Amino acid sequence: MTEAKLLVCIISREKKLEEVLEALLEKGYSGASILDVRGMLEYLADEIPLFAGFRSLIHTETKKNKMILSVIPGDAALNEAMDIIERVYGSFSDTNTGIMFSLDLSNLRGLKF
Amino acid sequence: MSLKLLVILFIILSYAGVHLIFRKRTLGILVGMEYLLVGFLFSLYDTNARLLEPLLYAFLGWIGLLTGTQLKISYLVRLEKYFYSNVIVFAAVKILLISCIISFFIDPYYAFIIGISLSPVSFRSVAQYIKKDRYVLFFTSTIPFVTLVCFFLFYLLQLTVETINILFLFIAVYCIISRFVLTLVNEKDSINLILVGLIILISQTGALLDVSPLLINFIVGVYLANFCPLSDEIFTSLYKDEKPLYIMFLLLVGMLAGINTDTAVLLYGLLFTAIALGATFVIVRVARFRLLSTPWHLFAAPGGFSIAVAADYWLFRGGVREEHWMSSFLLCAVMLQFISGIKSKFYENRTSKNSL
Repeated sequence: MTEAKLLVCIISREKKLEEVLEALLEKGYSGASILDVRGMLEYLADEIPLFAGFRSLIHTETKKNKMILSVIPGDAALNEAMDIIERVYGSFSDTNTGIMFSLDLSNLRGLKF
Repeated sequence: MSLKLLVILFIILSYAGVHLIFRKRTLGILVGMEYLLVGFLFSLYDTNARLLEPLLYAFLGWIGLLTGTQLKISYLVRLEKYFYSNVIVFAAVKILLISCIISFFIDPYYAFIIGISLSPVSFRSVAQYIKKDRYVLFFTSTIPFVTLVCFFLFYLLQLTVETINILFLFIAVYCIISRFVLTLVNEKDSINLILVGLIILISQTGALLDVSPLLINFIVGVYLANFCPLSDEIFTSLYKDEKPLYIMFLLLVGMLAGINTDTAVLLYGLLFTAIALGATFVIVRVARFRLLSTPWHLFAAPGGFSIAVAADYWLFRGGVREEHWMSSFLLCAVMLQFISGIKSKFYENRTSKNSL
């Protein structure tokens, strides 16, 4: 087991993504991967509309949750990164705003701290 | 079996059928038009169904507002110019072709409104089979806007100058009032009630002045989509209960319009169906519009929007029960939906076999 942690952060306000990444970069957290993800309820609610086809097409093209994956060297850095995200993005305590957690990593290759 | 028992049986069947018809992605062949047929059963009773007309005005208002709130300029500019020219020419050619041929058989005014009503394509029918081709999906979803513009122009031609002035004054006043009322919303939960109030107010006062509820709500919807800060919430509120409202709308149309059982109505219904199928085949296969890779019969399904346009005009012409042109049109719309649905099932089976 290494000291490294995997920070997983899913945000629903896409507009805030750039600000969050810039804030992390300023503090030296330069490695992160960004993925487009969809919530379970959002997926299940994705039915074919009767009258609102145009807007639903536009909506599916634009509305995407973003997942930030970043490997962080240790607990102290992880807490700092999480605080930065929460400060820029806002609190995760409100419903449907997003979710953030960390995982312990083992057998890490391809990354040196 | 007595008529009462038959109606009760159909109500029970329709209740059970909601799940089957509107189950996610797997649709019934008629895409909910079964409820139009249930409505026809109600119309067999000799009741004073005209008392329900204000409800139909409200439902048409809801469809108009829902359609209008989709039209945000910021969305429209994302699509290419050639796309719009293709959609406009497709809709115009379909309207002209169908209405010109039908006008050999019936009054040109009614022929033209049938042509306009048959020009939209059911987005739900197409999206069920075409899931990845964004061009085809956007194409299908944009046609109703062109249909409404053509309907608006056709509608204006039949109004006096005085009524046109009232119409535009009415539109301007309601755009301003709607926006003002909606900016007073404190809690987003209360937006539903305000929208119901607005739809009823606009549609019913429109009815008093003989102004189309579908068109006027559409224009108010476009205004709100572009100039109201709560436009996204308004759209979500109008859209989220789409299916139950659609069922009620079809039931009402069936109950109010009824169906004329003359042999001539049946023959005209069959004739209109053949003309619409032929016109769609020619347009998609010959003129193409970049739709050649899509089965042509998918573009023959008219969907609920076409019923709304025809019902709106039918009300404008006095809403006479069992009117010949309306009965023939409704028969034609159900048959087109049925034929398109059956052919699509065959297409789906064939493509799934080929992919194995």
